[in-house]
Amino acid sequence: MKEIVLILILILFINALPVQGDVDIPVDAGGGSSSGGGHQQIDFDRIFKALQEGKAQKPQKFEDMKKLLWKEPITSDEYVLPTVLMYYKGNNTTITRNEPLDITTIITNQNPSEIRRVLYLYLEVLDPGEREFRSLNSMPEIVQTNEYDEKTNTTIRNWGILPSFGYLKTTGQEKVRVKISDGVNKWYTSNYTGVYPPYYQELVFNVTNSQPKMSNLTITPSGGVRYNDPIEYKARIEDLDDDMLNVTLHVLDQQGITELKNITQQVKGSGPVSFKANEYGLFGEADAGKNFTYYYSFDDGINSNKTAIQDGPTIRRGPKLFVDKLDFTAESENYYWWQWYTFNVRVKNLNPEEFDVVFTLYTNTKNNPWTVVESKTVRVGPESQVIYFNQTKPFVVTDANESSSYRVKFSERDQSGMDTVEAAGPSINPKIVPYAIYHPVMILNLALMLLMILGAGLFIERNIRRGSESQESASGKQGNANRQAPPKSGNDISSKISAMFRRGG
Amino acid sequence: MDLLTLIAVFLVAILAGAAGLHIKNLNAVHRRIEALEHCCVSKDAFYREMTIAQGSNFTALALVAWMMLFVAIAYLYLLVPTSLSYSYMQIPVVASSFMGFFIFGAIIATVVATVILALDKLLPEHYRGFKLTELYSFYTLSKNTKKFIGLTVPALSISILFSAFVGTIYPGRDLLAETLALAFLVVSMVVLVAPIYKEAWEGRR
Repeated sequence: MKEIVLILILILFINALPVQGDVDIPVDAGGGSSSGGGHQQIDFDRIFKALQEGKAQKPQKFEDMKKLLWKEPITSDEYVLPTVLMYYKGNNTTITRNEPLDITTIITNQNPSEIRRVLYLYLEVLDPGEREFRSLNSMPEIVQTNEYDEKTNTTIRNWGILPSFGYLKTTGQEKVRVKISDGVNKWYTSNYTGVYPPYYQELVFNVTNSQPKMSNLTITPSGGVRYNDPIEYKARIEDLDDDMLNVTLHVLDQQGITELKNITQQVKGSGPVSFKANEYGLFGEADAGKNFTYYYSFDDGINSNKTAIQDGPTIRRGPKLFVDKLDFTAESENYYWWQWYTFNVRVKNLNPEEFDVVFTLYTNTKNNPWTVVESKTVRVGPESQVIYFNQTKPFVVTDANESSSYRVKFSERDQSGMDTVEAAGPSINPKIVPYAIYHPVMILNLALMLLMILGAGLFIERNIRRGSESQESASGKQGNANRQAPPKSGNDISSKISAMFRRGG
Repeated sequence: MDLLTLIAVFLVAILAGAAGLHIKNLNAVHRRIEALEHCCVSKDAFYREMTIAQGSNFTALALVAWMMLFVAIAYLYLLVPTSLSYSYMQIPVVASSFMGFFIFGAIIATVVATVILALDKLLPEHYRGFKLTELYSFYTLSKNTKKFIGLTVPALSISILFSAFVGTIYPGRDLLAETLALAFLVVSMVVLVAPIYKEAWEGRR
C-alpha cells in the first residue's frame, strides 16, 4: 500500500512541476551538459532524495501530502477476490502442546497483474475456552502483486510465528485461520466453502498435554543413616513438553499418614531432581531411631500428579562422642622417618549406650598428604577410654626433614559436630640412611661391593690375560687369537677360581 | 671453593699428569730406540718389545685397585652433596634402601670395568699405550712397588669405609672421617701412578 502511495505522490509531483513554473530541474543524462532556459527537465534522483528528506525532516507535512494525494485503489468489474486457503500436511490433528507445527497458507490470484492488489494476511487462533479469535501477528504478512507464480498464479506463506501450541495453559480444541485484506475487502479463510484436504478453511487441532513422569526414586546413602549424614533424595523427571515443572517432596511419618515437611523445587523440562536433607534441615537429633516415608507431587501448570509413597530414610540411633587428648609418642626423640610412632586419642559416649565406632588414623607430610595409616573399630561406651594406634610406621624416607601433622577420623560426630580431630605431628629428622656403619646391613653392602670389585678385577685379567701373556705375545710365541684354553683341573666353580690364582704372579 | 673441591682438582691434575707422562714416556723411549737402531721402528713392534709380563695376580690386583680408586672417588664426592650440588642422597628412596650402598658402588665399578674392557678390546695394537690393562707392562716394577700397589686395595677399602660412614650420618658431617677418606684416597692414587712419574723423572736424567 505504501509503495502505491509513494508512486502516486511521485507521479503527481512530476505532473505538478510545469504548473509551478519556477522550478527548473535538470536531467542527469549520464554526464551530459545540463540545459537552462525554458526547458523543463526532471532529475528523478533528486526528486526521490527530496521526498526522502521531506519524510525524515517534516513527517507531518509528508503525511498531509499523502492524504492529499491519496487515490482509491484501482477498482474494476473484472477484479475477483483471490482465493486464500489453509494448508496442512498430514491428517494427525491431535497434537501435544510442544509438538512442532507446519502451517501454510496458499494464495491463488487469477486477476491480471494490472489489477491485482496487495494482500494483507493475519493469522488468527481461537484458543480452548475462548469465544473470539485473536490475531497472532500485529504487523500483517504482505503478499505483493508480483510474487505470484506466472503459471499457477499462486504463492504461499509459512507461518513461523506459530511453531507450536506450547504457550497454551489449557488443552482442548484450537482453531487456526487467516484474515485477508486487499485494501478494499476483508474476509477470512473460513468464509470459503467446498474445500477439501489438504486445503482447509480453518485448521482445527485437538491440543493435548504431555504429563510429566517421575522415575528412579532413590535415597542416598541407603540403609540406616544418621540424622546429620548427607541424606539426598534423588529422582528423575521427564516432560515431553519441556514445561517449567513444580516438584514437591513430601516427607511423611513411618505410616505415611502425617506429612511432616514439604519442599518444592522448580525444574525445567526433563532432568534429575535432588533434595539434600541437610540443606533444608529435614532431620534433627530428635529423629534418631525413627523411620520415615516420602512421595513426590509434580505439575506442569496444566496437569498434576504424584508418586506412590516410598520408604526411607531410616534414621539410626548413634553415639554422641566426646573426644579429647589427641597425642603421639615416638620410638625416640630423634624422630627418624624409619622409627615407629604411637598415636592415641581419648573418647567416650555422652549417651548411656555403647556403639561401634570406626577410628582411622591419617598422617600428613608435604610429599605424602593425608595417608591412611591404620583403621580400627572400637566399642565406645560412657566410660572414657584411650584408643591407641600402636607402633605404626607412618613415614617414609621422602618425609625426612619435613614437618608433619596427623588426624584421627571417626565414623560418628563428636561434641563439636566434627568427625575428625587433628594435631601437629613430629618434625621428621633429616637423616636419610637408617643404618649405622657397623650395622650388619651396611657391612653386607660394603663387603659385597668389595668382593664384586675383586671378582671384576680377576674376571678382566682372566679375560685378557695381560699379566702372563703380554710378554709371550711380545715374543711372538702365542697370540691372543690362537690362544688355547688352559687344562681344566675340575668342573666346579672353586676349582676355576683356584685356577685363576695359580696362573703365575 | 672448599678444601675438598680443591683437592678434587689436585686429584684430577695428578691423574691427567700421569696419563700425559705415560704417553710421553713411551714416545721418548720409542724415539730413543729409533735413534739407536738408525731406522724406523713401528709402534706395533715397539710395544711388543717393550712389554714386560707383570704376572696375573699383580695385574688383577692392579685392576682391582684402579676400579676401587674410582669407586672411592665416587663415594667421597658423589655419596653426599658436600662439595658437589648433586649426590646419591638426592635419590632418598635408593639411599635408604636395604642394598643402596652396594648398588651405588656396583654401578660405578661396572662402568669403570666396562671402560677398561672396552679400551682393551677396541683399541688397535699401535694404541696399546692407552690401555689401562697394560699400564704397568711398560715399566719395570720392583717387588716393593708391586707390594705398595697391592696395598692400595686395603687403603682404598678404608677410604670407602670412611666415606660410607659419612653417608650414613648425612646430613650430619664428620670432618675426621672425611679427611681420613680423602687421605687414604690421595695416598693410594699417588702410589698407583708413582711408576709413571718415577720413569718420567729418571728419563730426564
